[in-house]
Amino acid sequence: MTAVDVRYDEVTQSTKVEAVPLGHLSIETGHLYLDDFADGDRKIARQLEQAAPWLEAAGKRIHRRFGRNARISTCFLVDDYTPSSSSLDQPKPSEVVDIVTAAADQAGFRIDYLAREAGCAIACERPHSGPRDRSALADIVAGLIVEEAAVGANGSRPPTAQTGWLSNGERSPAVAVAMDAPDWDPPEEFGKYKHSVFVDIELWSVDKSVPQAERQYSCSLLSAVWQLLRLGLLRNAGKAVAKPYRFGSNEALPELWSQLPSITQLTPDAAPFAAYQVLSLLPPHFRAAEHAAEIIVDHLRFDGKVLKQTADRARDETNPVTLPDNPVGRVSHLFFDDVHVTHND
Amino acid sequence: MTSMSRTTTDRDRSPAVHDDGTQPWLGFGEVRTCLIQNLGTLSPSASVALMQLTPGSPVSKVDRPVRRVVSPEQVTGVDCRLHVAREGRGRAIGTVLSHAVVTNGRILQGTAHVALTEATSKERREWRHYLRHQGVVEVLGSPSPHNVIDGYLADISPARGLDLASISDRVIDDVQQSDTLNHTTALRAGTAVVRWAATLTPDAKPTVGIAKSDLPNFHVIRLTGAPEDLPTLIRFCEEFALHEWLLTTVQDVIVPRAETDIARDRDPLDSLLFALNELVPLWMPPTHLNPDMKALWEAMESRTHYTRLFERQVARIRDLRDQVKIRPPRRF
Repeated sequence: MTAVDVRYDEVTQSTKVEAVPLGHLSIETGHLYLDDFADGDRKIARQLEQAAPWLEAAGKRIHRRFGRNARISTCFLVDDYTPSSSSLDQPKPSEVVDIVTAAADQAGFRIDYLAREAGCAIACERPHSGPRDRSALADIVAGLIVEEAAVGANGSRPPTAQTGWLSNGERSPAVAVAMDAPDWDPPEEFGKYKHSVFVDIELWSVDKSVPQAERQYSCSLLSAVWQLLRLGLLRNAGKAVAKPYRFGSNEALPELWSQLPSITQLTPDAAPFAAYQVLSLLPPHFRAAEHAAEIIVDHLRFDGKVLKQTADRARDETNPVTLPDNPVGRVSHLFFDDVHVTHND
Repeated sequence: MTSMSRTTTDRDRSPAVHDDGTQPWLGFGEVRTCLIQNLGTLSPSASVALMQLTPGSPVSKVDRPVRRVVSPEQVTGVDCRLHVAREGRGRAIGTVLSHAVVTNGRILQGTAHVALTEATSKERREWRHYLRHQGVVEVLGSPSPHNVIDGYLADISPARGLDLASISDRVIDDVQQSDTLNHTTALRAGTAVVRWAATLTPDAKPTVGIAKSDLPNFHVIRLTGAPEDLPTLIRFCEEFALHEWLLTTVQDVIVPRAETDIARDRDPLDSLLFALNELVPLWMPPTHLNPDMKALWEAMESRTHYTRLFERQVARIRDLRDQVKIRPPRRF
């Protein structure tokens, strides 16, 4: 008698990873707080005017690099997460959309996507979304952090990222009067080249005076979420998150920012929101948070399937694109200066 | 002929084989098994929620032959000396994986595992390199595998080398501290520990050797196999740990306590029924998983007669239950 080979398989785990549309370049044209719209379009006009020439240069370079049909999209991030000083006279989403669109027109380009920062903490897929179309993206990204092992770490101590801090090196031991203590040891960056640039990043804070208070995520962590969304690397149990939402011609924008989707598509025929390369054109005060975001992204364990899917998609382009293994290698920045000129001629 | 194809139950979470082709030569792990601190059996959805240790990462659930819900892998970075027996030194840099398993909403396991490979560089590399190979530590130095295994298996607490004991313990703590549990159990039973080490060589057939340590509730397993067998070996050790815990709990806790209770005219029925209704159905050797697992388990059974020992204990429990029914204890 021959043995009968019988198999019994139970497929329970969603192993599928949803793909997201990808362009060649996503350009962040600016970043403002809701309060910055208090005096109309002055601040945004200045940001977009500064961004315009770099936008044009980046576009030229991308077309030279990837061909005439290279897909480029632009976006703008509004911070509705940081508590506003005067929530009463906050501008409504529809007002901000009008200001942003007009200011972009004035600067000579279009903004394809308007994103909101609270939508990076918790992704909302559609207007007035309920718990079912939401994903706690900040929680997800915080859960993917694997802090770098210090020399001697053998697994006996719990990771300190649980405390809400992530560093790029070994912290200096806690001493009472640091500089006066005779045996003060400096902190040390992991893999430093001769000298350290030690960075300790606060990922979130919790208001201890409020019972059951939720985590207040830092700008650094939310910036990491934002960059990862633009790189097309975030999923919730395999599902794509924060897909851009386009309002129909008869559909009004919600009254409250919290009711707006994470990403609103403003132009009808925009290139995909996420891209192989992302560029952020930002005022200089975002430099520290962007650096912190890069360190966070460097400490994430990515789903190998998502990375492979993105790399394969890039390689299958008409003009094949080879992506670096490291997602941070797909991000570039340009920080504006603070120089003002008064024209008298 | 039987096919060697892997089933979906061998989740594709095996430690990554390096893209540069470096194969692991050793695999280490530790499994802790205990009761979930909850009075009732957890429902399937409560088990899944409890195993959601990483938001946004899928929890794996299999309903038959017993319901087994597995958390996403947790990743812990390490850079430490190996505890090497006799002579030789080694430094291990990389990440250790750990996960929790809930069986039938009753039993909790915390398990940590790691694959050891040769170092791809003479010095420590940038962190993202190690994050690309989750569950792998690269070993700097060239200690003999034999000494590395003996050193790991004989390590004590606090660990002098890789501390998979603390990592697996932390998974258990993370789960047991959940607000959704009521933190009481129907039975006072201990936590059992299985520590294992596997020698991995290409084309090697899986083998297993089990030693009961002089420490209570502590077993040591030495295995061999090919590098691609590692997921099967990890699962074998988890299944062994579960069955060993069941046998020990029934034999050393349920039966002796019931006998003492009867001798002192106390009612032992609750714990006898708990064993019959909640623990006995969990005895389900994993021979259905794949031919390698079947071969491993049957070879283990032929030495240890675990199933026969367990059946004998179950028969004893039924005897005790019947005695109580015929002659009820006076003190209720």
